[in-house]
Amino acid sequence: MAIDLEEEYDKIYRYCYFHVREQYLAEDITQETFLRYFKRAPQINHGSRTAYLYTIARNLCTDYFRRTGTEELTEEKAEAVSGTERPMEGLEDSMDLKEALKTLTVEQQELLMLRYAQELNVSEAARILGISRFAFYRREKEALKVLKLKLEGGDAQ
Amino acid sequence: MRQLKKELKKAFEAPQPQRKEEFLRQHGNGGGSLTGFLMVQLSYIGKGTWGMMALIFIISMLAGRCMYFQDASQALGILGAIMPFWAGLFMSEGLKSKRNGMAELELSCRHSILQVTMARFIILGIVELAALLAVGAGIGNAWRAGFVRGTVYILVPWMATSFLSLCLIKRSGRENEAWYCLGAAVLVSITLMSCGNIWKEMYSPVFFGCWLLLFALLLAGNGYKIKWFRQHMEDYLWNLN
Repeated sequence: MAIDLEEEYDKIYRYCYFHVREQYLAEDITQETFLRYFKRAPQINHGSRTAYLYTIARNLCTDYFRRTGTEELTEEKAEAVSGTERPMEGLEDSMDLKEALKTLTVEQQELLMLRYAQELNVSEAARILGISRFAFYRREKEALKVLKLKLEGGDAQ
Repeated sequence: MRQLKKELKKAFEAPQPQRKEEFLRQHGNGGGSLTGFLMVQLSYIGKGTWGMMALIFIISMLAGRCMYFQDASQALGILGAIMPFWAGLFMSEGLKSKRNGMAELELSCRHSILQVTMARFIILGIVELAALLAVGAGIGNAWRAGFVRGTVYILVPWMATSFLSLCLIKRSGRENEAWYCLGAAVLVSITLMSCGNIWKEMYSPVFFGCWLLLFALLLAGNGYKIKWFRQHMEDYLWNLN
């Protein structure tokens, strides 16, 4: 029937943070997403509610960038703005992976994020991105292949 | 590759949100519990509907018990002939919102008209199933045919009525839906009773295959019609927006 607000809040927040790379801004957009969702939720059937939620979040992030005239932040810019530092303990592997992820396009990163971090199924993720399931499978395979090559190349060094 | 996929989840982690608890306190869990929702919908089912269901239940019991003591094989036929009226009542109550023009008002409610309709169908379905089992147990002979056969014999007229009702409703104006449901019930009931009188062996095990085939076809047909109605509801709501 209804979405699990607590669970979806974390997911939508993570998704918004991926786009805007700023904690407070990500939370603002997350809350705005849910407020807009509650207004229209009774009219949406369960099967497409998740996709609708993500679509609202995506559009709000895009609107933010248009309003401020900025582009999506990269990891480096975000760290400069927020002053966060990368954690230092035992993160060789994850740093390699984060570095490798940066070499992918934003679309590829978003695809992997929706599929593996947000744990959406292929139908939902494809609907959010506005592509067919076949296109999604193809791009996912491509992204994972590039990522794996980068990581293996990194390990070899 | 499996390890990579696991690591990807960690790679996309974000800092902990700071204002989550406050937001959740203000807005709660967007939908409330399923049980609470069903209880509310139960209270909206009309007294007339409950009265009619009770009446049909009593008639089923009395008629079935009479026939059981006179001619045991007719008991199943009686149950089958009465099932269409249960189905007609089920369909009529389930589509009440559309019939009474409440669909637009319910757009502003927390739960969609689709959810409300499905909730009504679930509640009425459970009640009718319980009543059916009680009638079957009370009559006794219905289940001499075996539970599976008896269930198929009784569900076929029910599904035939619901299918026919859905076909007719699709083409009707909303004021006539109740009459179409009643008409469908009468038609199926008369057909079944006539067939039962003409063709005495229709409930024999030899022809159970035909009943199974009919059951499968009606199940598919009802599924298709329900899917069409669901799509129709969404289109209706989108057009209103």
